[in-house]
This record gives sequence, C-alpha cells and structure tokens, in this order.
Amino acid sequence: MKLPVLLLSFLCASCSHTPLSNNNVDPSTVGLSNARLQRIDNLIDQHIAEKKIAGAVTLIARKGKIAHLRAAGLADTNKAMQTDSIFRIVSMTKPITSTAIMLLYEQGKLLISDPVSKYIPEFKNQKVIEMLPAGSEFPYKLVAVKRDVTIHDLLTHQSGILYLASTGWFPNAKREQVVSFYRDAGITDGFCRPDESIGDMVKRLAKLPLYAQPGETWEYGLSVDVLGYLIEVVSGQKFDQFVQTEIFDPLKMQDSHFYIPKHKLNRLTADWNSDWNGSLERVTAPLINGDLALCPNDAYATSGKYLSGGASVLSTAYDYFRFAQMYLNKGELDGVRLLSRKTVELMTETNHIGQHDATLLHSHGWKFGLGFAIQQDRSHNVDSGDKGVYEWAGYYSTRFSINPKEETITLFLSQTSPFGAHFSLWDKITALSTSAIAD
Amino acid sequence: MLNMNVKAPLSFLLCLCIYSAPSFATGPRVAPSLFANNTQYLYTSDFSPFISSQTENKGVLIEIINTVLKSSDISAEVNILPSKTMAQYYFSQENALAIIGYDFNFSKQSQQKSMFVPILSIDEYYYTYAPVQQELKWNGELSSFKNKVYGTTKGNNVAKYKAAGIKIKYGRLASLLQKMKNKQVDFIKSPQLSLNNALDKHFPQQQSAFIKMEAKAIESVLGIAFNTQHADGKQSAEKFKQGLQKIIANGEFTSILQYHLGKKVDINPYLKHLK
Repeated sequence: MKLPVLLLSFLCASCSHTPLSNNNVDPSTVGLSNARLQRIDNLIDQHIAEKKIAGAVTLIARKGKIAHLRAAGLADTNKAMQTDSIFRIVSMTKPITSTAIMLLYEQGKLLISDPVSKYIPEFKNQKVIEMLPAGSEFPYKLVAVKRDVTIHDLLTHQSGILYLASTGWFPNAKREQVVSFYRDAGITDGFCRPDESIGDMVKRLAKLPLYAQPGETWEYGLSVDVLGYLIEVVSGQKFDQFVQTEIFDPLKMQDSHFYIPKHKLNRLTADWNSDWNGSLERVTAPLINGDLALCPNDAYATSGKYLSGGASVLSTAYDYFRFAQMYLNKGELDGVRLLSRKTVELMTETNHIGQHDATLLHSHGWKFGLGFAIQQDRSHNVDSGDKGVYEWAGYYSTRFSINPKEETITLFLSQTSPFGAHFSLWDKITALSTSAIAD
Repeated sequence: MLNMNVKAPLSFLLCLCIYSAPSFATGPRVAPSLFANNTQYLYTSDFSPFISSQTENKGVLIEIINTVLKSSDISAEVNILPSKTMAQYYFSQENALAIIGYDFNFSKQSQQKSMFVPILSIDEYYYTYAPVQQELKWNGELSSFKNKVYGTTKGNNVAKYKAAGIKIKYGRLASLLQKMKNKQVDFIKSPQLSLNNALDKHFPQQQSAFIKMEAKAIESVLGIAFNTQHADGKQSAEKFKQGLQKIIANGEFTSILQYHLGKKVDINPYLKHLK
C-alpha cells in the first residue's frame, strides 16, 4: 500500500518527545546540546518525508539520563509511531543471549572455554568442509575439526557456523555447499519462526559441516542461536523463561518478549519495504530473496515453539536503553547487579577475534568482544565516536551504540527492509549523537 | 653393589623423576577429542518413524539394525544425519562401512560396490493438499503429473520425474507439507506412517486437508547397503544377513515391529520382501 504523503506530513508534524520516566532530563544538564540533538530530528523527518522510512524512535542518553526520546512517522498504516512502540530488534537479541551465557558463567555453571559438545553431544566430532580443486571428481571433502567448537567461538562468531543468507552477502562455492546442507536439513536463519523447538534445529545443525575450522574465521551466523539452546541445557529452563527471570525482570524490561502478549499487539510496529527512493510499502508477506527469508509478520504470533537466541526478541527503545545502561554502568542498574564489572570488561573491552575484523556491519577497525562489536580506532570508515564504543544492530533496521568514555547511549529503531540501505542513516545518527556532546 | 659409575646416572634419573612428578600429577590440558576415534559408522538420514534422531531407540529400522549388529558381533554405530546427501557422501567418498535407508541414488560406481540387505517393505503413496489441488489424480503414469511440482528430499533419485516433465522442489517432509499449503509444491510421496507422524506434529488441525491418492505410488524396501570396498564390508554384510535371519526366526524382529507399530497393526505388509 502506498503511503499518502499528506498523512505522513501530518504525522511528522505531530512527532513528539514523550517523557517515559524520571530518567528524562534537559540535554544541557548532561552535557548535550539540545540544538544539535534536533539535527537528529531533522534527519529522521527528512527520511520520512522522502518516504525512505515510515517511522522511527530515537533515543540518546548520557550519564544515565535520557536526553532525547522521540517517536516520528508511522508505526503502522494510519497509526502514529509512539515512544513505547514495540520493534522486532532481531540481531539486537544477540547481546541479550550473550548476557544470559555470561550469567551462567558467573554462576560457575560453564566456562566460555568449554567445548559445546560438553553440553550438546551432537557437537562432538564435527566436520569442516574443504573444497577440492576445480576439475576434481568430487567438489569437496569433509575433514575433522582440529578442536571442538567452544562457547567462546559461539560468542565471538568464530565457530564456522553460517547464516543461510550469507550466500547473498559473500557468495562463494564453499559457502554455497555448506548452505546447501543447511537447506537439506531444514535449517533456517530464525528470521521466520519455524514450527519446532530450538533444540531440534540446533541438534541438526551440529551434524552439518562447518565453513571453517573453529577459531580460524569470523563468520556471522547461527552461533548465537546455538547459545540459546545451550542456555536451556545448562540452566534446565526454557530459554525465554531464563531470559525473563534473569534479565528482563531484574532490569525491569517490561516490554521485551520472545512472543508478544495479546494485549500489546496494537503496539507492534509494521515492517515496511523501501526502495530508498520514495516507494514505501507495508510488508504483508514473507520477504524471500535467495537464501534470505524474512517473516516480519511472524512477530504477531502470541505463542510458538521457536526461541531464536539470535533474532526472536521484540522490545522498545526504553527497554533496550535499560539493557544498554546496565552495560554502561558495568553490570548494574538501579541497584540491581546483573553482571560483575570484570565480566562486562571481558565482554565489551576485550578483543576476542585476534587478527580478524568484524566488518559485517562496520568496517576495518572494528573487533568483537563477547556479543558486541568494539571500535578499535577512529581511522576507518565507520566511526561511532570513540575507541571502545561497542554496539550491534538488527535486520529490520535497528541499531544501538554505547560509548563508555562519554557515557552515552544511542538507539535507533525503525522497521524497514531491505537491511543494506540503512548503513548511511545509522552512521549519520551516531555521528549526530556524538557531535551533540557539548562539554 | 653398584659402582659409582652406575650410581651417578641413576641418582640423576631418580631426581629427574621426583622433580618431574608434580607436573605429571596435574596432567596436561589435553582434550579427550585429541584421542583417536576408531568407531565404524553406518550413515543414514532421518526418515521418521523408521529412522529418527529424535527418539531414544532411533526408530524401528534402526532398532532392528542395532539388534542385528549386536547379535552378529559387528562393531559399528549408526550415525543419523540431517542430510541424505551427507550420508551419501560418506558412503561414496569416505568409504564408510554402510549406508542405511532406501533410494540411495547411487552412481554406477557406488552401485557396483554396494551389497544391499533388505529389511522392511514399505508402501508409498502420493499426497496432495486438497484445498489447492483437488483435481490431481495418480493414474499410474507420471505423465499425469506433467508440469506439476514434486516435493522430495534432496538425495532421492528424481530422474524419472524430470523425464516426465515434472518440476522438483527439495525439502524435509515438514517443510514440503508447508510448501504444498503455500502452493509451491503440488504433490509429494511418502509412506502413510511418515506422513501421519508429520501431520500429528506440525498440522494437527489440518490432517484431512492432506489427502492420499488412491493407488499406491511404489513399493519400496528399506535396508542397509554395505560397502564392499571397505575392508570389513563383505564380511559384515554376510554376518548381517545371517544375524537378520536369526532375529526373524527367534521372533525378535516381530517383537520390535510390534513394539513400534502397535500390536494391532498388520505387520505382514512390512515383510513382503521376505516372501
């Protein structure tokens, strides 16, 4: 459905900064320029007016206070975006899952150096694919892993486990062969919610070949979905229950869910397909492009079996701010300590991928901690304001960025496909957020 | 008495042992996975309820095979993979002892080096999704499905379908059922038991929408194909055949079938190949 321009203009005019809690302050009290923050409003409004995106919520916090929280444009057809609108945060689920793993680590229930096979036996004796030279009688061979995949490999995307969609990002024959096994085995990326448990999927995935030897590659993929199941095995709880009781409840993330409660359905934002050139349509059917399968409307399901540690969570700007603020506070929020300072340092201040670069969403100059990309220098293309900034993003165009030096959190939540068109907008928002620092 | 020439080196060695002891006592951090694994694997892929990685006894066919392996003193372990093409890879490229299942889609070379032992007969039927394909009928000729889309597991032989002008889409049974609903696939082939299991699990409210075409599609035989190029292949195949006869004769075979399929189920159709 094409969006009426007049309606959009009306909604932009009615965009508001809505106070949500006593966290909200005048930007100047936390060293931010109000005038400069308004440049973010202008940027978002321009994108809405040009029908590049339907709407967005932006949040900038500093020193524990929300200095900017704004909803703009449409959440759905004829429905204005609200600051408490609920979004598919997709891969922003991954830091939550990584947090759950580190809670178990702090409880002494696992070591991140543990082989995954210690908890999920199907990961024993895995194979790695090696392509044979062109003209060989058979195209590939499977060789034994030099060592088992560890929890550390999963937290850092060094397991050799892929996303099917990666055939579209970085096509090559080896990737295509691994993904063809994934297809045979009914593995999905978790962006659509299959009618099975995460355990069933992970056990099949474990028996399929790895793309590379564990630890010898940085490949964004289903590793964090494996962690979701591992949490079930180690904790003895369903993954969503563990996250609810150990993370969402203590942090008072009251609008974060794996499956949305019925009474909140009216707050769930629609996903929009944008050609980034003025044609914007509400998505009504699955978006299939090669091996990439997105089912944004699966988010309307109020119950289901599949709990993806890499993609399933729905949340709001305020809830994710609370999660991010806990990290910025080195593991504590409102008197509740979730993680120790030392664990947060291990996750957000330590490069765990050696010589590899976490280039998928960023650029060279970005490394990876445990669940977060970490900026290592300011000399490359993607600058989020400082060395040590850590962040991640989601497939329907969501991004968060935490700057520990300046004590800032930047959040952008939209629901727009395709994903690849948004890098420029995201980078501009972090640039504007950073340049609003005025002390 | 040892002379000094001998005592000195012995004392040195003794000291070396004493001083080395603490480091050996704690042990090096060697992962168990570094030790060699000599298990012989028989490869197969999920084909519930006959072969199932999700049940404790791995399905009726695998329980029969494990019983025969044990009684025949064949040391081998069944490895159920989620991909049939992977099982075929291990047989054709890694010289695995055997592959289990049916419709192996062997190359001529693999065919020549295999020794098949039949175990269970199964009748397969074509199924379609009634709300979409009410008119589709099986008349015994694949030409009746010309231009239709056949959904099957990757690794199955689809040559005759392609030759009949039928298009192919691959997937696991559950996803093929969904694809029939989504009009991406027109028909599939399955034993009734497998289909019922999948419907119970994934489409409990819509079972009647997936309809069986009256005439049987094909009689298939599930079994184990031993690799005669493997050092133990021929010998294992012979031992397996004898072991199978033994458990048929002593009633274990029937007991396993009845345990899995129910005492009231007529097991004779599963034994047709024996006649």
